Amino acid sequence: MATIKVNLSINSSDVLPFVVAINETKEISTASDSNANASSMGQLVCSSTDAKTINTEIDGGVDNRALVYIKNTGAIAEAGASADPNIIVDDENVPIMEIAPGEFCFLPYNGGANSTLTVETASGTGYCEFLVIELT
Amino acid sequence: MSKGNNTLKCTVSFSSADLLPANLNMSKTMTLTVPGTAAGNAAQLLELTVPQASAGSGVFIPPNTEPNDITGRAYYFVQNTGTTYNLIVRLLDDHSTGGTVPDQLGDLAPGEFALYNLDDGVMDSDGTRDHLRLELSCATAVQTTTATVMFWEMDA
Repeated sequence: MATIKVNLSINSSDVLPFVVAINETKEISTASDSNANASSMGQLVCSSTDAKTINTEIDGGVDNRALVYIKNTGAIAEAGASADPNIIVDDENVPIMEIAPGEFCFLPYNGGANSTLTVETASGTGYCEFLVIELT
Repeated sequence: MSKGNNTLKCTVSFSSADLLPANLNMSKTMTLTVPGTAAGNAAQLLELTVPQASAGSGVFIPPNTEPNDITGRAYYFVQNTGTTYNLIVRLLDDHSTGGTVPDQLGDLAPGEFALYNLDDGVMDSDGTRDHLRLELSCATAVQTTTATVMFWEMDA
């Protein structure tokens, strides 16, 4: 069993009529069995014709619940240069999220036994980093 | 006339001394620009009581597609603020022509939270962009849990 401490903060002075200052922390423990026997982190290059599974090394899939972090590490648009494409995240081949360059998502994922998350783009080459921690 | 762009800063951090052979210490920050146009005109912070419900019959966010409809990308912060029961999170998309199908994103144990980056466009297989909505329900029959939700609309 392992313990992971996760903190997420969201701050804004102008997106709502009042100041937003959310700061949440949670300690999460992994199970002591084969359902939580793998964690992986890394970087990937993907495209519209080359979708990549981010949890390939975990028994063929996430057994039940997992903590998932994905960041689009592609280039942000600057003067004279266009941005790299958004990263599309698929749950069992169903698109569920779209992440622009420089942005990230974080979620406790539960797609059922041996489920997979893949990343791809609508067109062009995309770049991302990921962290997958099997929980139960 | 545009109301001007807004800014929002998010940071996520992970730490663990026993998950990997080496200590895990990671912190990532992003600064988001919420456009001051119709593409960024929906943002809300909500405290909810969430009963158990089957897919398609839960608590929808936003509750109505107007006036706070989301027609591009949107970030959703969701936290299960209950103490006993898990919170199921689904998104409404449109995999089949003419049909709206809830797809489960995951479930949050009490105290857990998530930051989803959703988009109405990529969820469509029939070529049209729908109004994005999230659906919450309690995972245990006849019970309720509570949740905090904040969402803000983004450019495509």
